[in-house]
Amino acid sequence: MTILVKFKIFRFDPSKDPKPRFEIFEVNAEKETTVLDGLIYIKEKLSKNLSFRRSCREGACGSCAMRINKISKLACKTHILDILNNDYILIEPLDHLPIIKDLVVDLEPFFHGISCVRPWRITNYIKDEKKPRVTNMNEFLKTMEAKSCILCAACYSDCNVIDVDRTFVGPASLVKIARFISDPWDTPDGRLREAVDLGLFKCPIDQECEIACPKGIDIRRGIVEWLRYKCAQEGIGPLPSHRRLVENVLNTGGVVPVQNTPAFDIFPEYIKEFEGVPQSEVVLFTGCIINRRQQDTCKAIIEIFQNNRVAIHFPKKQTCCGSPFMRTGQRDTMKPFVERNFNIFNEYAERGIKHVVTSCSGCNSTFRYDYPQLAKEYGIQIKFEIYDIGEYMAKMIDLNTKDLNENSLKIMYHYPCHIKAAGLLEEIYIELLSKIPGLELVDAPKSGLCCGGGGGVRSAYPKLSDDLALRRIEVAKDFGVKGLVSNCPFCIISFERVLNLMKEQDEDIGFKIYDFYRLFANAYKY
Amino acid sequence: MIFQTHDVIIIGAGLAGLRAAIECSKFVDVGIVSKVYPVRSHTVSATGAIHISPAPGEDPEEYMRETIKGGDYLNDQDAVEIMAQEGFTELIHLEDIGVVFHRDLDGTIIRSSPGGMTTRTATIVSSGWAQELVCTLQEQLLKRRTTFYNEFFITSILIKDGVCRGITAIDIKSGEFYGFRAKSVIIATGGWGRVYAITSNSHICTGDGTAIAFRAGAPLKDMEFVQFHPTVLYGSGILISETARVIGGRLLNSNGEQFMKKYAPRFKEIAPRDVVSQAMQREIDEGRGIEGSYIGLDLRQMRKRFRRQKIPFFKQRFDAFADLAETYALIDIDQEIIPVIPGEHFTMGGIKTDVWGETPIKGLYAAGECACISVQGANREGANALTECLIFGRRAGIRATEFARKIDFLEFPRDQAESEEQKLVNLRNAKGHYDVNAIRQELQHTMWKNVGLFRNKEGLETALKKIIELKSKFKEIDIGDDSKIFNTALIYALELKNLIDLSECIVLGALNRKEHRGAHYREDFPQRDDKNWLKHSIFNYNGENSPILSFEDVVITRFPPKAREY
Repeated sequence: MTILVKFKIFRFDPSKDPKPRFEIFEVNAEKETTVLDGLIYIKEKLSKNLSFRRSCREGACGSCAMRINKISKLACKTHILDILNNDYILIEPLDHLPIIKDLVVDLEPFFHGISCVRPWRITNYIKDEKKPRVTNMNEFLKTMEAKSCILCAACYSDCNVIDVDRTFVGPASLVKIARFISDPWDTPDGRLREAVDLGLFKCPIDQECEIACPKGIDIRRGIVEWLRYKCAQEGIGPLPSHRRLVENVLNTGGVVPVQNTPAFDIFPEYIKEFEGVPQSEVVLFTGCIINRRQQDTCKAIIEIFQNNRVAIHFPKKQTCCGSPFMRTGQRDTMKPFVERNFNIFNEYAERGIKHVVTSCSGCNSTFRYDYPQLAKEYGIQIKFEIYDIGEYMAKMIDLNTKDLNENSLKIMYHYPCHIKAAGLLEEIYIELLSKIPGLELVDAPKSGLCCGGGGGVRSAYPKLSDDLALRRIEVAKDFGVKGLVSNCPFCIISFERVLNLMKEQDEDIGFKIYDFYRLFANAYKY
Repeated sequence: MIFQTHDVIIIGAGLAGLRAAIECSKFVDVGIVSKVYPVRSHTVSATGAIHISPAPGEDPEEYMRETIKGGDYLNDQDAVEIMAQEGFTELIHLEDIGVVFHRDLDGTIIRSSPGGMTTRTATIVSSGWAQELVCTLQEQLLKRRTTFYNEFFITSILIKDGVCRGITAIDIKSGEFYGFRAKSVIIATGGWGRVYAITSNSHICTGDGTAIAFRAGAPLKDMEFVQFHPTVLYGSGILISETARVIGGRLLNSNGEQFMKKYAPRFKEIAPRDVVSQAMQREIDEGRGIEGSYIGLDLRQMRKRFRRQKIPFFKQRFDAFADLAETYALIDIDQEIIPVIPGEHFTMGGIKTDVWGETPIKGLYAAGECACISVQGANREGANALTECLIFGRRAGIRATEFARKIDFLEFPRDQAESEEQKLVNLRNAKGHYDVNAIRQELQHTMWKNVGLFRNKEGLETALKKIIELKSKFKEIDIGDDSKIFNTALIYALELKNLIDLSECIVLGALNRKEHRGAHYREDFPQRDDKNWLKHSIFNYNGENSPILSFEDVVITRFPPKAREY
């Protein structure tokens, strides 16, 4: 089967063109045709002066990294028919690097970032000329993973932080640092300190680099969070503002100070306001921010469940999930949180209420990925199931759609990185929103999607966080929407903060942030 | 023209070039000129198996015997002996600077035997890709602040009065022309797999250094010997490593027969590459190819068998095969056979050098695939390529350094450099009526069809005629891009010139050598003929005319030629 596909290619020869332009070419594609095959065809048959780099054509050398439909990828590893969802395939050079010609960028800034992490083994070991060392390969697993980086610069191009802060060294350099720190034959020698100075704590763990990585390196958990954990172990990290978060929790029971009456004090321990048998019963875990700051969201969640005949158990002894500590490397402080929360959930499970729903995406990804490992270490059994509320609405209950009223907003869904990290697809939430009659949903672009609220960036680098949030809003505005809807309290805080800042400076841009649950609950009203 | 001066210039930043640079940078000022960034070199496509001989408690003699037998006795045995002796210090050095080799459960280095051999002398780098070697060596050079000229394409080697004086190159990024003055020059530009239509080689493997040295007067050696790897993916030519067969993968024809039993009863699938490739091609030619055109590589039962393996190595290899097969053949290796054919993989021939990488021209050295030290003979054994790069890269580095320290800078032949620059300007603006790409494809298909696994007089003569025709067409090419900035159309044209010249040598050598030896198979002379042909072919440049052929004896020390059976 052959399909005629259009390539829309970025063209610019600074010695000839006054400004960049796009040119469209037609390419025949079969199921095994890669984007690189397409480019080679164009170079050979249609436009001899098109420039791009290529070498191994098997995903080993990293030459042909470029932005394909706005995501940085290796052209040789991308099949045309797999990414065909538009009228054309958009091909642009890597971002954040100066353009030399067409799809060729100057890689020097990228390689400079690599060479400034002292990328060579520093060792005190005196080698034995007669025989190789005896060692256990398992000690090298992390090093091996980090070594699989081919320096293609795709992560550098898709990094949200670099977009607003060029002093950040970039994901590949952090991978390089991890390669040496994890190397049992490397003498540590201040590498972690360098990592912190080069911006280890600037990463908002949004994972766009991970999506770009052609080698599938686990950059967020395996590299960034691992390095942060090492920092905490060595007493180099986390940053002072991150330490304060732990103190907050230990002193007050939550990461944020109490504002207004907490949701715990407003709502009862058991909520069932409808007649008859519930279609299911759940245990609600709100998380600190919704409890202490976004009580309206909690109220909205309760309303959604009541409209769907779901009874809610709301245990008041629940405590912080500990996500901010996991994200900043303070893994060793997690035990009390894991014990307390999981014991509560287990108690309910023993009574037959096995479904735990979380309203905060950060809590959800922590429960899903970090807790099972930690629970294993602490010897805690897991008897219950964790769901995100949106996921629960979409998959576990028969959703009441007949009472949803019309809402004619034009809006874009902001897909939170924690939801992505929990393994939940964007489509689940888009589909839920599309159940609201009249709501006009604009497709989100593929990049520039970070709210700046994750990974402890907001507390350590508020300016960076604001810049990221503002950029995300600008991206949405470019698509002609006046509002973003998100189901993560971190995103909402981040966005509202920059909007308020702008209002203070009399720069109201007429943009609104909507909470997913409040928007949904409102639809049940009229 | 911009001038630069270094004591030693190294052309090519793959494994051999970087290894040489490590030696040079200890004592002299080095400049590394490469047409791609070092981490983009073709070395990174290798799977990272290196023969390091001897394994503890093992006799190096067995490794030598099998390498020489694998090379069908065309290897210079003094050079093989060096390769057998110097590997171990390389291993210690590599592990010291950051490469890690796979360990067995007891913590010692895993030793395996690649195809065609019974000695267990191959070690495997832990990441499973030779990219680890390139990265590590480059890191050492970064530490020493060595100068890299990345994305510079070399256009000539300047020789005056029999001494190498430097090179000229073009900065691909800016289009600026450079003259590099040097006391000694090391060529490490790799192979020229791209002369064939089907090859496992990267697009960049166009033998630039070899062709340019040839035109500058350096003789080439054994050019007719081109290795065809048995298992490249049908269609794309992407390599499925020999490891797939070493761990038990079987080759099946359209009747589902494991046909290698017939051709190599003892070694079967892991016979040397020339034997397996020729057997596969024979099956296809005789109508037993699957769908008439390919052979099946069967790994379906393998994953199960290795499921309990605790050593990460097996899982890693499997994942690599699965990933390649899934991405480029769109199949699942646990359910389906992988469609493979033999494809060009390695060029045994190259610039004639001695065991120290010295060419007959003073101050000019070569190492790695671009050179012919004659360690690989008529067919290279698996895992010997990286060994060659490391050991002879180091040796060339040492000798080039010694030479550079001995002499003063000689006068730079400015007139030669200027005429090169003028040639390049003319080429950039060439507006003839032949398409570079069309000529290249015609060349590649001619070579594949007539100078492939099986060769005969008629086919070779056709090929030679074609090449001479293409040579004259090249004089009237159309570049199609006169920009100075990152003009890849111009670079492709320069590469094409190199491919044509090297093809001519291959065909001439093949036409001349009337026997079957290793990878060179003449259908009209299907026997090895030690009486007449136990000798190297030497090619000398002869301007516009065909190269001049002469011969040289093979160095035989301990292993006299024997019948070759697997």
